[in-house]
Amino acid sequence: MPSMPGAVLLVEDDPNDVLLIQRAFTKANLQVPMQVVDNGEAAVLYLAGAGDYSDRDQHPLPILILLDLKLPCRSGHEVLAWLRQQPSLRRLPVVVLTSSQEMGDINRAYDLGANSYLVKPVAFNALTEIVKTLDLYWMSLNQAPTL
Amino acid sequence: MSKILHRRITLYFALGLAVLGINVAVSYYHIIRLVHNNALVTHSQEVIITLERMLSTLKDAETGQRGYLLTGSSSYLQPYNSAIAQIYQRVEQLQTLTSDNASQQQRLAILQPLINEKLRELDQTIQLRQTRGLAAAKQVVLSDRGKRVMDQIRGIVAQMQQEEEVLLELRSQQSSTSIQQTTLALSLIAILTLLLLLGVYALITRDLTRRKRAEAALQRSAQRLAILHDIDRAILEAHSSIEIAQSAVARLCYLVPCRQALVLCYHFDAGEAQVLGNSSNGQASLAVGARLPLSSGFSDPVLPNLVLTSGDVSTNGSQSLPTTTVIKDNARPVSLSNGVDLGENCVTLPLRSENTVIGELKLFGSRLVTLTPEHREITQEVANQLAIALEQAQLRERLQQNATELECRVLERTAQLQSANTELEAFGYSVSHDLRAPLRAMQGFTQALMEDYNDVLDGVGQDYARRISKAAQRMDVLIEDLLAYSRLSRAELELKPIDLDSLVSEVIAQLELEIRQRQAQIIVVNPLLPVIAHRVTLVQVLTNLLMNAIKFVASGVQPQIKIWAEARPEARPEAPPHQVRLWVQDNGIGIAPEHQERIFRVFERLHGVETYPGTGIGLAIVRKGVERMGGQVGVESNPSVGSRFWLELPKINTRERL
Repeated sequence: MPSMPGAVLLVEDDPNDVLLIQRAFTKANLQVPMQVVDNGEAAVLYLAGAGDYSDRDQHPLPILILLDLKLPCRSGHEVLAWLRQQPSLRRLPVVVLTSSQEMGDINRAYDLGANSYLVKPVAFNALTEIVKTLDLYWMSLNQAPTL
Repeated sequence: MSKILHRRITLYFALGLAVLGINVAVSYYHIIRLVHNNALVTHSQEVIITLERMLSTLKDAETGQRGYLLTGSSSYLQPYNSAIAQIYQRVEQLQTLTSDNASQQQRLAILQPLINEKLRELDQTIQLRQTRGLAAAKQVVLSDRGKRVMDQIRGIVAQMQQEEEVLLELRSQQSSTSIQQTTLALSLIAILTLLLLLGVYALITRDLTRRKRAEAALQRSAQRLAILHDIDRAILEAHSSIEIAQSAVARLCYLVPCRQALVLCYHFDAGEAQVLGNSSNGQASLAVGARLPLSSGFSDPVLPNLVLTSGDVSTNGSQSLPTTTVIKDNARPVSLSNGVDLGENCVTLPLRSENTVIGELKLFGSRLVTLTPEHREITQEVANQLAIALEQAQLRERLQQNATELECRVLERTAQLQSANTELEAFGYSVSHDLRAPLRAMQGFTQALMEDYNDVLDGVGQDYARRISKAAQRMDVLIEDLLAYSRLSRAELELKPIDLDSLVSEVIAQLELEIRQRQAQIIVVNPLLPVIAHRVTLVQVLTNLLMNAIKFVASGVQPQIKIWAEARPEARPEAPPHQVRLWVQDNGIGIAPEHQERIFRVFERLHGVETYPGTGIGLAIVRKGVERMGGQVGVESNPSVGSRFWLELPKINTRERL
């Protein structure tokens, strides 16, 4: 497995899901460091490099964002809308990873500039498969933009 | 103009013309007679003169003869000769003049030989004087022969003159009588003509007056009609009560002399009277729209101390009881009356709707002007029409109010429904998000437990863990199906023409994995007919149907599925079919007739999960989806042979394109 520099930012409020995703990352043998924030406001601060996240060494700019939609403070949609308006961050690939299969949520996420939309599977093995695919697609095959 | 009058005037003119004609005829007759008489008179005078002349000529001849006889001077023969020359001329004249008178002609006939004889005697004496001298002539003269002839001549001339004198007298008398008669006749005729003319003049004058009066009446009636028409129009144009009343009083004041006109409408249930119309808008206390208590007095410059009461309306409303009602100093009458002029020159007319009094029309006149019966009539008519108009307007207003209320209620209900819908959506959203999180945790951590602590757990423990994981996964499928079902109920489906051929092959492609696993055989009888449907929903429906067909087969049997379509014949054979029925036939386990309706309901399962896994929602989704697309679904099944599911959707018109 090629190990990539940079990090994945996981925006997820459910600690169970965080734990399961981390486990899936481990199971999938991903070496990429993961940063976790548990609400939309924190995600914005992290990406802006503000507040607790001003140290870019400790909190490097991610190469991929895994974004839940249902979040405290700011929703995933709002974080996405904010991100796409930042000139220095707008090209960051964002993969929505959420429970909702509602057409409204899906369409709105794409309207706001999501690069992909994935529904969290209940089966853990399926989650592991997703993480593997994510690694393959976004970190190996996909050409990353310059920020 | 009336016919009789016209006939009379014509008659008068005819009579006048006749009288004038008679006048002309009589005048002509009399003038002719007068002229004739005058001619006769002149004629007689001429005869007389000619007679005299003749006699004097004869005398001249005699005088000339005597002079010659005596003197023998031939100078006396000159007048004699000229007289002789004239004498026959005179006689001839007389002959002509008296040619119309027989007796005079007879006398002339006697006269003529006498004249001849005289002339002969004269000539004889002159001859004698010339030849034998005076004595011989004297003898002849002395014989008195000449004198006798001359006397005879004189006698006859006198006779003739007398006759002419008599004639003259007679004709003069006739002329004067004729003149008198003519004068009398002309005077009479003139008087008659004058009378006739006077008669005609009187007739025409009378007719003109009558016409003027009729014209004025016509104008008034036209204005009246205009008011009534306006009120009618107001009814038709859906004006408010106030607009109708205002327009009526404004026009009424124009037609009937009054200081002010008021329209009041009673609301007995509220104990109020409302001012609907007031011709003088300035009165602050009686502003249009103002409400006055019916039972308590109110003072006003217009209605001094007037009290309106609602009592005894029915009795006062009847025509037989025209109560007079100026209401002063809080006396207790009703302000209703039947158009009686009141002490203050006020007329009040009730506005009646059938037998109920709904209001009143009040006219306040000035002291100097009294209303004519015609004015009353107009006011009454306006009041009647106004009553109908107001009733209509009130009905319409009530109807509108009801409609508005209804609309409000509909809006309210819609809002309630919308809020319920929003809540349902929120619920669905919440289920979709939050209900699955714990499932993922259960499933994920059970799996972690099984992986990381497999050596700690014994066989039973491992089995439990597997069961938890499986239950969690089943619950997830259940939630997913429920969400799909509820989404189908909520979503707006935009129906479009769809090509079934490509859609079916797409569905088959999606199910490729399952088909391969089960080694199912699917035959599609192309071409299928195009339909009108919602693509995503139809895909979901067909996926569910095919999944069922693949799934519900007896173990060890290869699933064989056949798909075809047919146009449904209409109830009326001549009408073109507008429904397409799509068939999905399988060789599955089949459904007993008593279960064929149940299977389309939510959570209805015919088999244990272990035999045929599933949530029991699949066919409910099929039915819901097809119904939302305006179609129908059904099944024909024989438990030992298999099932034929069908769904009907609207056919595409040839004009519509895919």
